[in-house]
Parts: sequence; structure tokens; C-alpha cells
Amino acid sequence: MTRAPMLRLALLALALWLVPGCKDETKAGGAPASGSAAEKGKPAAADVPYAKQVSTSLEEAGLKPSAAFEQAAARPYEAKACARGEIDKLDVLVCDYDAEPAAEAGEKKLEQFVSGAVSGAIRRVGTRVLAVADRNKVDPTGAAINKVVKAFAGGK
Amino acid sequence: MAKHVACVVVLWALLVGPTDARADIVHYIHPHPMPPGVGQGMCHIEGPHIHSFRPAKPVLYVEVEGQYAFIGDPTEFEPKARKYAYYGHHPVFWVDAPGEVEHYCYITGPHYHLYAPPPELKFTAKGGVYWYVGAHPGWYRKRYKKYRPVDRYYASVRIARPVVTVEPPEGFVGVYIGAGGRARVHGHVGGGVHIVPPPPPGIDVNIHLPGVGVVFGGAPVPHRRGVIVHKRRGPPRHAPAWGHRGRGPYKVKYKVKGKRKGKWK
Repeated sequence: MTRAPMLRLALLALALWLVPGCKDETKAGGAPASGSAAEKGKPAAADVPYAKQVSTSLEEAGLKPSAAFEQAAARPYEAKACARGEIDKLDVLVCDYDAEPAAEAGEKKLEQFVSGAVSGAIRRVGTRVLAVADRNKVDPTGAAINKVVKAFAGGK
Repeated sequence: MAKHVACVVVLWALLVGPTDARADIVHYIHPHPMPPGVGQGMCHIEGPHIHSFRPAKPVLYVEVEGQYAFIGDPTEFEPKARKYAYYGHHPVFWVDAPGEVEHYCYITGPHYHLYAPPPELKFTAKGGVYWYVGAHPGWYRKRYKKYRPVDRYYASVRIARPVVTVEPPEGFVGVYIGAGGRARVHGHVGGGVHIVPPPPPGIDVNIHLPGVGVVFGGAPVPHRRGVIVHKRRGPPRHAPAWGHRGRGPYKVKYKVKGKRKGKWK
């Protein structure tokens, strides 16, 4: 009986923590995925929005986003930057981290993105983590999810 | 402004929404059957993945680092799935780390799995079936108790099984039939896939194990694809039955009583 108020308090604390995450979305807009390229003075990484970079890299891996990727909140996943879009009607979130240990920890954080979906998968390649979720039950055998994660793992 | 509204909505959803958001995260690894009502056939996601549901038949899974791993025969769930035929017990190599044997398939007789064995494990392909001819681990018999439900499950379920028409290869360790007893095992010659049939008038194979007790013989009990085991008393145990492994020189005699008439396919 005493659990409910405690849970509410915990959720309130979580929500207060999340609010800056919402602000973070605007702040992190256009963050380059690769710092090294920006340092070298290459305009591509710095000028191209992060979401566009993610979309391009997924296309290079053989995936065709069915909805444009957009910048997403990164703080809930403790990432440097995140972009969210759709591939084959699957909800896809790609996040980049500063280092591999952070990305490894980020895999666990991205479970909350998959939460609520019937099926989903999370894969990490270096400092980039991809989470794919089937929220609309469009992939009853997991074939589309498998295609996305395999292309991501082999494509980057 | 829109973002502030979105934040407020998220706040509200968190406060009034489900308190245990992680309850719908169930970890799986490798393909597995989809439960009825959620999907059909097998889930084809390779590697680790997440679902919102638990296995419909937990007996067919082992838990590996918090993930459900399917160790059963996929035929029941997706008859047309690409699969490989096995006979007898063997390591569950697709679940274990390379070089380690922690899980075992205790499905007696012929069955299918989704994976072909890796070259580093001692499997022999004979008659279109993989036979494990390597040494069983020390815990092989002990853990059978743990996995017995899987074996019992496949003893009861009626599904298409590989047809085995050859004698086991050298080094194969089959099911222990009993000590000093006599086992009558009916098989048949044929090809392709066969649904568990009635007792066939095909080959009648008698296996004599002199001087080591009796387990089989008596009333027939349907057991596996086309195999009728006559059980008289005592629980079945597992030990060398074919070949010349383990204790003592077993004399295995195959006696063919008649040719297949072609009706039982």
C-alpha cells in the first residue's frame, strides 16, 4: 500500500530529470557525429546535420529509411547525439557516444526505447548504437528487424 | 513551445502511466518460436533481441545470461524452415561460447535444429543426419534430469522427423537401452521427412545386450519417429548402446526381418 506514493515520487524525480533532456534536443541540434572530421576542417561533418549523417550512413549500409531521420533527445540514453527515423515501418533510433565503454552502457539505456514494442533489437558498432522497435506489429517474424540490424552491423 | 508541450505530456505520461515500464522487456537470443496470438512460425532475429512476451513453451528454452535461447526442434512451429537433421544427444553449440559445452540437447532419436554443426565439434554426417561422435561431458548423465522435460516433450509431440535409414557411425553413443536386456527397435528404410507413424512392417532391428539387465521389452510404447520401444520395467537411462564405447564389449546385432513394402513413407 505504501509503494504507490513512493513510486509516484520516484517517477516525479525521473520526470524532473528528463525535462532538461527535452531541452537538450534543441541544444544538441546539428552536433557532428565525428569530431575528428570537424577538427580536420572538413566541412561535411560539421555542416551536415547529425540526423542527415545518420540517414546517409544507413543508406550506405543498404537500408532505405521510409521516414526522414530527425534529431532526437540524447540525454535519456546518455548519448552524445541521437537521431530517430523509420525503416520498413520500424521505429529506429541511432545514438552516438564519445567512447566505446559509454556506448556499451548505452546499449542498456536504449532498452527503454524498445520497451513497449512487440519486438526489437539493439546493436552496437564502435561508438554508435542502433535500436530498432516494431511498435505497429508490422514484422511478425522479425525478418525486417533482422535485416536492419545485420545491415547496420555489417555496414558501418 | 511545441517542445515544452511535449515535455509536459511526457511528464504526465510518466506520472499516470504504467509504473513498471521494464516488465515488457524479455531478452531472447537467436531464432525461436513465436507464441500463438503474437505471431506465427519462428522469430528470425539472429543474435540478441527483445520481445514483449515470454516463451509459450518454456520447456524448449534454456536461459543464457538472462536471455531465452531456443534449443528445440523448429519443425513444429515452422515446418518449412531451413533446418538440419540430427540423431541423438549432442552439445547445443549455438548457445554456448566457442570451445565450451555448457548446454546439451537430450532429444532422443532423430530431430531437427536450425543450425549445422561447427567443424570444431566431432559430428559425423551419415545418412543425411548429423551424429555426435565426440565424448560426452562429465555432467552428461547428471544434467539429463534437468533436461528430461525437453525429451519428454518431444516423445509426446507428433511432428515430422528426419528419416534415419543407416546404422550409427563409429563412435556414436546412443540411448542406453538397459543392462542385460534386449531391445526391439523398429525402423524403416526410406527418404525424406516422415510423420510419426504407426508401427511399420519394415525392418525389424533387434539389439541384444547380453549380461547387463533388462529395461526394454513388453508392451509397445510409441517413441520417436517410426521407432517403437518395448518397455518392460525400470526407467530408461542413458549409456552406450551402439558402437563400442564405454564399458565392455557390447555385442550389437542388427537383424533384418523383412523388406519395406513401400506403404510406410
